[in-house]
Amino acid sequence: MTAPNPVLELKSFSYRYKSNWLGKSTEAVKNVSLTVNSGESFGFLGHNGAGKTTTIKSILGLTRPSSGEVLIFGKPPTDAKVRAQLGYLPEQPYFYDHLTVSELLTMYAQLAGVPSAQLRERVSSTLSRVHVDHKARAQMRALSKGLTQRVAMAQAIVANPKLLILDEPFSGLDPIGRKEFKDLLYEIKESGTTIFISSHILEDIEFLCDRASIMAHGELKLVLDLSQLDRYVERKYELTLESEIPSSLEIQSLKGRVDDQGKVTRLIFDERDDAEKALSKALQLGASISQYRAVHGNLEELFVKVVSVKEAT
Amino acid sequence: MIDRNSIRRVWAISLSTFRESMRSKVLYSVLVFAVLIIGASALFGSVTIGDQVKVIKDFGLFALSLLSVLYCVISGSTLLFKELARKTVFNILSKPVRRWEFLTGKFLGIFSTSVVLLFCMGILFSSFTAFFERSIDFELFRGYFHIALELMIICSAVILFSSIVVTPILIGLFSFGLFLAGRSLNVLLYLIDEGFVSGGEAIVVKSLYWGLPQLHTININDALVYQIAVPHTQSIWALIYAISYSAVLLVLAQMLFQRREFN
Repeated sequence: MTAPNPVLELKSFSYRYKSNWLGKSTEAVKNVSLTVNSGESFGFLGHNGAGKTTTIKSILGLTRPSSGEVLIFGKPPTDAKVRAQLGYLPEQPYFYDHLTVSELLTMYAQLAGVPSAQLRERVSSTLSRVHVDHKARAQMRALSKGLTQRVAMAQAIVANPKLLILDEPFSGLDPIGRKEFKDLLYEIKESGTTIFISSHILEDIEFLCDRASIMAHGELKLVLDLSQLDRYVERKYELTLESEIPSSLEIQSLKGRVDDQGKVTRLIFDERDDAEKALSKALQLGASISQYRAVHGNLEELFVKVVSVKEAT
Repeated sequence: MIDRNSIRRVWAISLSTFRESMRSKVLYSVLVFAVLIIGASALFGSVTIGDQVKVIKDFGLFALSLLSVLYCVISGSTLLFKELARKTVFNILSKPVRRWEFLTGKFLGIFSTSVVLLFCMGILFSSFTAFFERSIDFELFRGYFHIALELMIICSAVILFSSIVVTPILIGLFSFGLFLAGRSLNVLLYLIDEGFVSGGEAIVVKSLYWGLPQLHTININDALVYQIAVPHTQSIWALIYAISYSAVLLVLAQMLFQRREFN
């Protein structure tokens, strides 16, 4: 087995904002240490104001750590050569209004170091990859939010970076756009690119990422392997009936709870024994059962649990 | 370190800035205003006793100089402010772009747009004066060249102030203030020569005189209007001075911008 090759390292990283001229400061990120390895997809999660964007700015070399270190491929991001291997999609991207999509992407490709001989072809193929080739001649100000987001993705991937940093990549996209982005990111991941994603859409993080971290109030609370999510969130048992609950089922005594009522009735149980007792009783009563299954805990539950613990303390 | 890739990146930023500025409404508004002012200069000329063409040239050159500097200050300060406020700069600096490359690209983009505007206004004005004189006064083009040198300095000042100050109004006020101060330096010289200031005050005034841009010597509008010969060496020295002064301002801007935290 080969040793993991770190692409991004945060070593006891802290960042303080200077609040005023008197030198008062606020600590936005406190002593964060984490490593993202080559070829990995890493979800960087946290509530609003948790310090995610502040951390990303230091990863990009836009701010300097107050203490600790940020390294990309073993070097600080203030080294321009290191940034040649990096692609970044910002949260709420804005671009130059009067430039056309093609002109804008050509500029970013030049800045990212795409050779002149490949420029035209690379711009064209990247626009096709994000499905905005039909808008190549349109000015940026004429684009919708979703199309702007696609251009933002295009500029991030145009130079085939080894590390892709995405801050809320699914923002402003309709369901089709979201699916296309997920497919594209999956393809990029398969090509061996390391992906670092900050997103509030935890379902997508669960789908795309190998590992994830959860930040709360400037502190790193948890780093987990998403294949082992069950270790952190309990399994639940779900019994779905195609009718109302028979009164004789006595759901309260079986420690279950009704989650949803519509055309079907869903009963959730924390314990397998309780669920199975309810199932057998429902069968005895002749209730029509549409489904009985064990439900794995998801990232959203874990996120709420981790962030709520911090807020309660 | 400047290498081939640096030049390529500076070129990419300056070209985008140029395109963005050339397509903005501000440029065309200034051009329309220039047409109106040039037209109005004929009116002033006709109601003034003396040489009508002299009045037209005096007024026209002053308007050209003022409008191009105003455009440079307004577009430069808002462009850089927007870049920071809308965080487009984050995207650029996350690429392998050094901060000095970004500032130099912005400077070249804004300066070249201002020069194109000046050139268009100059063509209009030269045609207008040719209509009255029945011949083209090619010396006017030297005047435009000297105005362009002033623009170079003011444009660098806009870049410098943008790297320190955060609001476009202040950037604009400081830059335009520098233009007015540079044009009025002969007043300081007068204060010193006539002995109105002495001792410590004189040192302060002399420092200001040498520290502020010598725009009053770069500008040759009066000489052109009153047909006083301007030696070519003066143009060469003005060019060297403008390049040197702008370089100093840009180096200062880069030193400040390098330390800036984009939080």
